[in-house]
Amino acid sequence: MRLRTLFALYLISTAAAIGSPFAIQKVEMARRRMIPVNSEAPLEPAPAQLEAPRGEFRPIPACQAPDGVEYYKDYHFSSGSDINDRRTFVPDINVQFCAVSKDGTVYLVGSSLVGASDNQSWFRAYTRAGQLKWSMPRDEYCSPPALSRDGTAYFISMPRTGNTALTSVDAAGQVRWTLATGGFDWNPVPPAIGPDGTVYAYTGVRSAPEIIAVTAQGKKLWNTSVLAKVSQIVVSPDGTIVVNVPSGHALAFDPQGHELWRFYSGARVINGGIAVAADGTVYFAAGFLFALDKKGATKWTYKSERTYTTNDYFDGSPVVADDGTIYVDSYYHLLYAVTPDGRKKWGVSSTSTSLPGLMLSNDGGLRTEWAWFAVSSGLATHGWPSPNGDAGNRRCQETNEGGATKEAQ
Amino acid sequence: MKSTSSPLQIGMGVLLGIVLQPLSLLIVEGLIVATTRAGTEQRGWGLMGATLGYFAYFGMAQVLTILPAALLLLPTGKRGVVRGLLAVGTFLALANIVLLVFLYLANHAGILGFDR
Repeated sequence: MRLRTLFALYLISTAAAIGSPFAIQKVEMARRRMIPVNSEAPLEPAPAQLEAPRGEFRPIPACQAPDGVEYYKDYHFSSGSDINDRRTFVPDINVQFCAVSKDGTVYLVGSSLVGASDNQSWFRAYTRAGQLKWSMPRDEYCSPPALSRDGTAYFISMPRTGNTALTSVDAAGQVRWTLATGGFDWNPVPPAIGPDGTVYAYTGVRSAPEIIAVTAQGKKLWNTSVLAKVSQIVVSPDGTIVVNVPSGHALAFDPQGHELWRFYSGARVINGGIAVAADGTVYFAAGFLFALDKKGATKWTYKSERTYTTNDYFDGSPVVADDGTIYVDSYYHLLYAVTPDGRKKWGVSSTSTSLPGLMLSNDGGLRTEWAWFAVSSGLATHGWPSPNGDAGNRRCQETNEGGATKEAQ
Repeated sequence: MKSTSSPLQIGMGVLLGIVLQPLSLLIVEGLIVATTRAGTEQRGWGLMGATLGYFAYFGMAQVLTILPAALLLLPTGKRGVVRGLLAVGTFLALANIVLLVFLYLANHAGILGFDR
């Protein structure tokens, strides 16, 4: 081959190599534009937005009490649902998680403020007036607490040296029992409590990930394997345990630990979340929002309008309102209200760069980190999360008991 | 100067082309070091990005070394060495295209698990 030809070939191939990422990007964008997303017109106008209040930092919706008092995390843990009338609730610790029992006792997982003389992690209980009831030191890494109806708190914790353990603490602050689970998990997953009081927890053992069922007295009932590290455990009204695995899987088990079904979303989303409606429909936010029936079959799929243009995805826990509306927000700041049959009720966009986070109050106050909305219906009283059978109405709530209802109580 | 081209020279060109490759990364890193302040986050991210980017875009990075070397050697009449250099550069460029297309297709096929 002549040198001149070789030179031309070299220049062409080098130019092609330089241009190939742009060409691939162009092909990809053209492909994405061909795929249908939920860009239909909303069924109703979005409610007016109120800017979320600002503290020293932007407060994050944390949990709410049965009487409607809402708690927020910022530099100082604060309470109050009136934008202009929030008050500092606990000034001396950094609060990581909270939960509120039926009698209004506020349980906090926190640690000493930076620069404090002690460097300690705490599990504390406060009265609704903000008076300290009791305080106990805890391991450095701790899950949000799950509260049973009698005020017993359950959490998974781990010291820096490893070895996770499930601990039960009664309403007076006394440790009832501790069960070593032998795992290593810097972000322990909160346990969930079934309608009969059985506690379900993820062990944190990476090499052999398992869910265990433990009685309220600390006796291990069964253990069952799961695919990989678990990020969320919820219990549906009929006692089915649904487990969120960040590999994109949702697994369902019956109360005896037998696998009922497994669903793969096709997307690996670290922070995906699960909510369960009163009729047992599982809403699984993992890339798209999936509605799954009791057999794990897809009822419908909802896709963010920005799914293919900006790789937008749903990665937080959805919440279900009493009227069946599902509220879910996306990574690129779209907040959607979706009807139970998978249609767009309304959607709003934010330019905020804050992380997603949703809390629906009992009276229809929809809280995010960037805006507050007044919606037509409060949090569903059945299903998960709910004011009675909680878990993750913004990470922690009144109680982590699945399936518990007002009637049951 | 008389132009020469022999299999030995071509082999030397290929060898030179391969040996020169790490220099591309050093050139980019040198540019980052020269344009950022020591101990800054910008420099840290820049150096890390350049290193990772080099392995993804080696077919583009070769232009920083192969082309100058070929242009420098061309007037000396060592055409065989230039041929070897250009062959290495062409191979790297084409291989990079194949790699990028493979990654794109594998991603969509769900083999790598990045696609959402």
